[in-house]
Amino acid sequence: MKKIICTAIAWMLVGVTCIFAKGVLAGTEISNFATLEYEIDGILYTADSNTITDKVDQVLDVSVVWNDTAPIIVSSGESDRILTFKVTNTGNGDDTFNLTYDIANPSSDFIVTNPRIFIDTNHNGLFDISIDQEQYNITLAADAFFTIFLVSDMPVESYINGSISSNAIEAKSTIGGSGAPGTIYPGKGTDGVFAVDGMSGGVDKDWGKYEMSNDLGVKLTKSATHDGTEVSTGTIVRYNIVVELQASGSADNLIITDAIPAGTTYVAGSLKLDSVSLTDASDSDSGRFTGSGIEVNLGTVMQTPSDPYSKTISFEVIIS
Amino acid sequence: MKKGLFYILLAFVFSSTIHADVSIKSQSLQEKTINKQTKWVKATKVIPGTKIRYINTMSNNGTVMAQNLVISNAIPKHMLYVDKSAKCDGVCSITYSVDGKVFDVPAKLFVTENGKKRVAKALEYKAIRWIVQTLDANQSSSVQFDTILE
Repeated sequence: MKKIICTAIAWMLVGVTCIFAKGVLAGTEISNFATLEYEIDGILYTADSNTITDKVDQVLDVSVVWNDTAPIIVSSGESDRILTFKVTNTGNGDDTFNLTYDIANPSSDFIVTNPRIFIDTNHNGLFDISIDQEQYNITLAADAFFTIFLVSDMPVESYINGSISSNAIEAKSTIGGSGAPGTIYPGKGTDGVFAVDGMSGGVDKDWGKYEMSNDLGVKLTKSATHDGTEVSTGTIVRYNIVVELQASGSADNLIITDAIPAGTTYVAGSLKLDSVSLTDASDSDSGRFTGSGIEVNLGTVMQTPSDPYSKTISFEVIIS
Repeated sequence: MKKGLFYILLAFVFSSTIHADVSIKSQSLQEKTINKQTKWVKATKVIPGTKIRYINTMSNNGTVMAQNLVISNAIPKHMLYVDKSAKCDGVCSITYSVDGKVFDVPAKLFVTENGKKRVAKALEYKAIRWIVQTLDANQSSSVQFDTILE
């Protein structure tokens, strides 16, 4: 329980000071006694006081912190995407905490599905599906922590880039956890001492974020075909460029360009998009010949798991 | 012989009328708000950050005045002394120790930190000592100090 101790607790609204403190463990005995020496007519006498012993009571406190440095980038339809949290027993005694999730934040742009809580069983800070256990409670000694993973699936519907989903983990003391600092639980602490909800009220919650992806990978696959088995001056070579997206989501103003290879001449009027002819001029259609290559503006492109994106651009050149 | 026996008897009678019996009792208190008033009550709920007041009460249950009463109290383990909280009823001298052996006034208490000597902070004190000059028969007097639980 290493922290600034500043516990203004109900049954001791005074008498508790804000200090940097180690946080003595619950059940620890604090003993005091005094010694006395005195003289009577030059003769020295001694006396000892009684020993006063107080036992340290237990403070129930917990901290939940979302541990990712930035929102987790996700795409529609993805499974088992992870938010990482750190749950620390900030009290001064052993406690078991129940873990619950909250996926219903009203400010979320989209709602995840199939939420599950896993604990970092092997304490490596990483989610290992074959090792880490799905679990909804953890027992922690004072100052100990566990890494907790909230694992969810993303909705299959598409959402605009930058859409956010906020999801939380809550940890709650099973000794107390009323949420109200100062709530007392006689005899429920370590070694039968009093337990009391600390400044966190024995419960804490933090929100983590998923963000719909804005970074789509564009995959271009180019192939060339020609008639006959030999290429020589005058041979017409047909180029196909297949445009695909590598993730779910959308992008604006996707422009594909390709230079006419050296030693060849563009065949006027050969530019096509999915077999539909495009004019060579800069006009209202999506393609043009620039003089040194072709350019096709595909505009806004979108892909979902059930509707993958694919377009084919084709043009011809003559071997000079 | 009779004279010697007389003096022996006189000394015996004289010594048997001097009853030296000064006791010391310790108690621990904490603050509590009762009916909007803050009072010091017996310490029963002690958590990190709690302020505990220790009070040592001397009682002269004897028949003659006691002199040069020296009360020594080590700061309990896990407790931090609250600066300037040591007090006594009436007049006394108060000194402190950072090693439990040598007692002096705060300005003369030193510790070494990072190889450098500096004046000790109050929360580094290990013990307190009060010296009360006299305590009459059938009188009581208390000394006290405050601490905070780590």
